[in-house]
Amino acid sequence: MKDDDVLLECENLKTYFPVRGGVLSRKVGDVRAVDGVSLQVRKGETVGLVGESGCGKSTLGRTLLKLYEPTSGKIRFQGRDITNYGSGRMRPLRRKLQMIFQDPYASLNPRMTVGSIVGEALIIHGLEDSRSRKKRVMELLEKVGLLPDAADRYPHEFSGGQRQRIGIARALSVSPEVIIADEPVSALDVSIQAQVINLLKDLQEEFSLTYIFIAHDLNVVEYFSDRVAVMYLGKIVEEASSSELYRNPRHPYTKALLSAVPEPKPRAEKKGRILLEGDVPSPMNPPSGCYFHPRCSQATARCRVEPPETYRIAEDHRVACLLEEEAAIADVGHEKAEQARSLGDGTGG
Amino acid sequence: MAAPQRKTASGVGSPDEAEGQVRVPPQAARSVKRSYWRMVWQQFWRRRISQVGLFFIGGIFIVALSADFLASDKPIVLRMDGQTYLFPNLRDPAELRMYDNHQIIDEMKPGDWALMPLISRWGVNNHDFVSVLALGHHPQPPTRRHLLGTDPSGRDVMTRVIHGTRVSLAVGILAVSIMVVVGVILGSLAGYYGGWVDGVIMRFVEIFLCIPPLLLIVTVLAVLAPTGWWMVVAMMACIGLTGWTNIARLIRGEIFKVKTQEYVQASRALGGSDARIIVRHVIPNSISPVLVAATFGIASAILLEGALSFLGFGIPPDMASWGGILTEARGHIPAWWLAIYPGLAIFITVTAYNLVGEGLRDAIDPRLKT
Repeated sequence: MKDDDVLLECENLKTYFPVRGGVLSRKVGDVRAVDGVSLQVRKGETVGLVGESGCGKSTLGRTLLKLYEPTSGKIRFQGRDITNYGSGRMRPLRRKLQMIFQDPYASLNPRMTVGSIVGEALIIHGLEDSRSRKKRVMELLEKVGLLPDAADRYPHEFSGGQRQRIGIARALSVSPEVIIADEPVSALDVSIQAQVINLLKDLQEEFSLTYIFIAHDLNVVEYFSDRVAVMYLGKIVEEASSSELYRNPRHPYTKALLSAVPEPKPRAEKKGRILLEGDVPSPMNPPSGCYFHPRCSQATARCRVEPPETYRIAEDHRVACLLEEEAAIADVGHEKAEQARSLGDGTGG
Repeated sequence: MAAPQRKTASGVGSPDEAEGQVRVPPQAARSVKRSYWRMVWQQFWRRRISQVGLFFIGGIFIVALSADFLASDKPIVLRMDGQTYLFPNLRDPAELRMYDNHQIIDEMKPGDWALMPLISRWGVNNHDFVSVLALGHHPQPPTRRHLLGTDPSGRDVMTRVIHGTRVSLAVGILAVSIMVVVGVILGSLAGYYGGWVDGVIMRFVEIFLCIPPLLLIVTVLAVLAPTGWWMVVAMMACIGLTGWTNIARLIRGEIFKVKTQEYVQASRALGGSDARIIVRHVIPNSISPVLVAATFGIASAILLEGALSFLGFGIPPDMASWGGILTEARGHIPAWWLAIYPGLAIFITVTAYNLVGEGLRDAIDPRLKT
């Protein structure tokens, strides 16, 4: 199932931000926002990217779009290596790779009308003349559920949910293939979150879009994604299809995350809540061995020194944890996965 | 400030999303387009004192533009010897070159008529020799013949104050235009690109900051020795080239804030070029403090011009300027009218610009909800 239908992939991708200090502003270190991520996104699927704040999920999304320059590693789009594309060679690809931003208040230029915000990309890429551009903007606005007269008005006249719809219309304007949605609903009310999520789903169906969906709300991700990757400190620690991940989390961090998801029923008994101690370590100076070991309840002496490899424990389920070593070595067969699932039920949220 | 309540008055921005289509509140649909600048204008206009400042600036502009109609040594329309002259005050026809208003009136025959300049019948360099016989030497205190008195060479102070408005406004506006253009371009390059570009530009800023404007202007005027309006241009260029640093630093700081905003990222993700991002997204969102600084800059440029002319380096004596009239007061101490009237003109203009600047600053400052 590999290869042909992979649309966007990255290999051992690293994005470091230099930290400068001192009088001469010499480089004193790196913030390792993305620290060796490999991810494949297939056509038409939705990949969820979860993790706590500062784990590098937004940076990963933006690096994939080349809004940040990757420090090393490779990004491939439709099989082409775009890692070293300059802004000129990137421009035609920008039509295929789009982004929806987290903050609907900061992502729309307050000095531009909604029409010119949505139509900007059409001008940049010379797609339509001025009359048909106007028509296209109206269509887009209607598509995302706004009235066409919104085009003449300014972003501050709209609510958060409406603004997010404007942002979606902007991303759609170039008919992209991949949309990276960077926490598109985190800033919205719960009721409006649902509307925007459903809008994104409908649009996916209509335009056969591929999504990379960045979020920290696990419920939303479960509902929305086909596959989920869990990030911790710039690395992907676990990756699986979304039903598999929620039923059978293997990495201690994933388990902790899932156990922290609030239950809709307040009286329901909390089973096995795992509390993580301490804060996320500084990405400038990550721990030795497995980055997660200082907070891991199951950490062994080996975890402290040896960075874990990524083990494939089942079809489409990968975990970067030394504890999985034996399971992975044994077999990756179907029975094993079934067994693992039933074992995992005790701890799953 | 009553600002916060006002902003939500139109009811826009309420989370008014029905199931499918999102309806825009009807009252918002009827309200006028409320762009950012419209809101700034409303905030600005709410304060009486900024209105006063703006009215004064408007008045000063009218005076400057119509100076030849308010004070001139030629009539606006003249019928003489069967010939009609339209706007001799502007055209200065050869046949009338030897006459001024008073001689024209003296030589008028029945059937001749003239529409005189509205305030003063004296020209800028129109020396009144006649009144010396009656009133003694110049400068003469205000009389009916010279409403604001005369200067030491017998020229009408009223006329020179009116015409001096032109120089002051030209110096103020053009100097500040140079400041803003240079400052915004260099400041936004420094702010947007950062790194070594920023380093180089900011070193330039520091170098220019060290140059005292007065000294530079005096040097340039001494070396180039320009004449007439070139003098004004040289002065404006000098003021502009020493004053841009402030504006560059202001906009650089704003751009540092703005360039990390998501809409800038969004434009880049859409494939927008640097030039497009700077011009369409970054500058419009960081220009407002520059406008405030520019308004204050006009006021200080006018003051600087006055100071220079007062020191005798500025506008040549045959051109009317407020500072130039003030200079003449220096050698003629009891002639208070030579100091008071141009001084008043400078005071009013500078105050008006400062009022407008302050109003603008307050209108922008509360960070109108965007």
